[in-house]
Amino acid sequence: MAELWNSIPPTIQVWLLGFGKGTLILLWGLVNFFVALMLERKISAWMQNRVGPWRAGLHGWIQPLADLLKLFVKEYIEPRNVDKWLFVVAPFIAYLSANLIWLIVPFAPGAVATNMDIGIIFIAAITGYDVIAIFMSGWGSNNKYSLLGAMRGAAQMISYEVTLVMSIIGVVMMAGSLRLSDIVLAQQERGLFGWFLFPQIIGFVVYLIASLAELNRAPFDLAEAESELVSGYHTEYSGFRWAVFALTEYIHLAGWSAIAATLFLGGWSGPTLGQIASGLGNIINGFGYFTNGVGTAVGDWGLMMMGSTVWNWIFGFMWFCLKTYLFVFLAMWIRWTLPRVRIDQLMDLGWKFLLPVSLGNIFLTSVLRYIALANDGLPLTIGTYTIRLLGWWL
Amino acid sequence: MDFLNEKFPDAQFSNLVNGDMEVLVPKERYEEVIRACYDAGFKYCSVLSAIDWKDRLTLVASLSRINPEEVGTKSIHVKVDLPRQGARIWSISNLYPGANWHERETYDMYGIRFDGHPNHRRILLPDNWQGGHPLLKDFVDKRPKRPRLVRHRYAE
Amino acid sequence: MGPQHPSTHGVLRLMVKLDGETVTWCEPDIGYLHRCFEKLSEFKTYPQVIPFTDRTDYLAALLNEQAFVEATEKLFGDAIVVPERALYIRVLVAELQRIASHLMALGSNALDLGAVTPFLYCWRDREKMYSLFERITGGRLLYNYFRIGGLRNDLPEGIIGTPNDGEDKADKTIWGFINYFDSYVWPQWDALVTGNRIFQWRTQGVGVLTPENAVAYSTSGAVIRGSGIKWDLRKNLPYSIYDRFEFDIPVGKNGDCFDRWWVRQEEMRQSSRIVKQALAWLSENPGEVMGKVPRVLKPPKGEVYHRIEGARGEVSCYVISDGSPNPYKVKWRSPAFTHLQVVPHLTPGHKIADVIAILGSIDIVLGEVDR
Repeated sequence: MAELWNSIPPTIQVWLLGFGKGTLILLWGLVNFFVALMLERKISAWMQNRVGPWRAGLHGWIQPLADLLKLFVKEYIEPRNVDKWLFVVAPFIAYLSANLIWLIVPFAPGAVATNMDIGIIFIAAITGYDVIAIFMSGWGSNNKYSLLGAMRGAAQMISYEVTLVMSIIGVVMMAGSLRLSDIVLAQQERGLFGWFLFPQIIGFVVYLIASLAELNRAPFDLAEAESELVSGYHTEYSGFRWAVFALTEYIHLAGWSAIAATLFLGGWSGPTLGQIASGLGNIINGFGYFTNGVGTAVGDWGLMMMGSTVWNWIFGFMWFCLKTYLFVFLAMWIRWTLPRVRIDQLMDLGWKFLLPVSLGNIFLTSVLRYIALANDGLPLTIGTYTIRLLGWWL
Repeated sequence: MDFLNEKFPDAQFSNLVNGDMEVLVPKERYEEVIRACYDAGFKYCSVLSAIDWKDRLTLVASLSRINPEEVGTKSIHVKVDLPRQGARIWSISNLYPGANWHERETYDMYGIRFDGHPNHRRILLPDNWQGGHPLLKDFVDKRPKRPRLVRHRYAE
Repeated sequence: MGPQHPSTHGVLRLMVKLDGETVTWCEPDIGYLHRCFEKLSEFKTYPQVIPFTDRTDYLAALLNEQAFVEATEKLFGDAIVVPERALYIRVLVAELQRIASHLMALGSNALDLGAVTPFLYCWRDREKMYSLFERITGGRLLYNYFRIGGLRNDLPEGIIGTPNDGEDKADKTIWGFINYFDSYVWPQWDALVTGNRIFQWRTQGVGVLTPENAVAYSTSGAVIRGSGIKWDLRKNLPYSIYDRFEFDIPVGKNGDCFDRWWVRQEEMRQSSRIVKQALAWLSENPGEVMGKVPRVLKPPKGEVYHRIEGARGEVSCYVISDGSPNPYKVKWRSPAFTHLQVVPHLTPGHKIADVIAILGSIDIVLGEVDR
């Protein structure tokens, strides 16, 4: 295998790798779509005192597969006078933007599709695509409801992009790098309470709100407000094109949750198999000397496993998925609880409240870090100790 | 409600079964009576409708007072006799905006025209419906009847 | 916003002129659900009209029946005596219907604003009520239960229950339902929706109806009480036996959508008070539920105008009898028809999203609007 690989000229190697990673990302997007859609329907049902899909096999858990198959074979209804090019291309641009986010997300130690050193800036750039796609679909549908939805959606997404990026800058300052895998490594070094969630709690809350607004999810789903605009910018789509919009929504949701997990919750960092085993060994040892043999055996096996890259990957990936889906669950919980915000209230919230708060967060972080660094040589009184602790923490 | 007795002694008063007062006024004094009621505090128009006695129509405007302290409030029903064809009368919807749609409905169902109504068109039936005014007693449905496709065994 | 729209509570067409997102003119177009109730009732006998009245406001059917039946009973005067037990049962079921109707109003109002879950909670509780009503009257949504002179049948065995019934009996006994409602449902609505900041943002200051306009536009019910006027026909024009019950009238302050919402929520609580008092009386006083009425009902000649406090406002019924078994005329004044006139007055200057909020807070039912 290795000789086969080395015999291919380097440019073709790069292309092959690229195709491979791209395919994996697209497949991963589909998997995310299934899981997220399944979760959405079941969780919303449980919260509303009902059971959700029940008959599609295994008590409804393969409903998304049934949905996708049905949408594949459904007829395309294209209203007259739609702008052909805009109407047809819009869903695919949206799909593209959703999948692009997954390129830079670190799934496991060393497993990133493209380990860009300007990862955060890349994210900021991608958010622009979705705006274009929404506006194209709204305009191209030749329908006043869609146009209203698209205008609202575009205005909302542009406003919250700024806030979103501002809320991330605090994290970047603490990690010292724009590369996402460096951010994860920085969190792994600092341990559980050093995960950027705790110091950057303000940034986290702002990120949560702003990402919900970017995703057009309730309470900010004005672009597709069901009770006012029927379906907003994707009213006129049917069949597979609508399926692409649905795919986009859930892949986007999972993508932003993955970014949240990476930036604030430590990405793939978490106890690996080896660490769990050795910890377990110690606990068993502590129970009394007749279990000593078992405890030491488990602990030694754990120590041996700690170096295994494969198991580290598997466990890292597992922690990553858990954290991502924690955010997905949070987003769904919020969606099914809160009513919708009006467009002018949304704009007020974004520009007049969240943006100053996130700027304040950046200011606070930088000031505290500077004070801590500046006080490095002073004797250790409680005051300077606190400041240095805060500074380290922040 | 005795104010009406004083101001318009030549009108015909009677009582409805539940104790409300009704006063039958001629068409020329309708506006005066309504304004007198309005000035006396009866600012709430409950309903405005018409009755089709076979030889004439009677317009009924039910006015009442909203007084949170009052227990056992009574309404005044101002009645006007109108001819069955071509009836026209002053519209109270400028004084009582709540009677706007009730007057439209009375026009729609009985054919009484209201002078001064801001939006005088049919309300429940389509705007350009030609079939007449349904609640009149001699109304005949002129739409073509659809033939019955299956003969029901109890049909005559 | 055409007849088929998820938020217009039925087939209503709203023609709206917009300037960007702001409404400059709005006019409702109704008549899509006109079923010729008034004309039909002239060809039916008095008892045959009662099921038609159910179908005007189908979300709170028994309140409509009460209007018609009590109007006809007034025409008979002293010739028909309705037994007391029937009067108490009428009040009981009417107040339960009021709770059901307000739940639906609140649920669909919340749904219009984007909160999907409260709508489903409304259905959860209405389903329990449907089970109760099925046992009492035989119907779930439309009942045909009241008769001129009393009721069709007495309450079945065991439906009243004991004051200690808990939540598990909420769909089996009325006491169970009321206890469940007071302890669980009402606080849930209060916490989930009324206390929600986003909800308050959406509804406070939207669609403000001043008290003078409220009277001028002939509003009644929750709409006029939301504007600060303490007017309730159960207290101001006591009909049936409402003067024997103790309850308060909630009143709003500003006349905006939030006040109307809050008034409905509080009214549900007051209705449950009335239900408890009625249940206490009913458990102790058995009796008949149907008075002596002639076989063929021919009220003496006369006219009656009977107003009751329906779920949405003042439901009134102008019945004219000419001595024959068919009514000469039945005029049905429904609150939703009258309230819909307020919408063109309230909406200009607001955004589209507010139009939906205002429409939801006025609480219309197209069956009533069009009859």
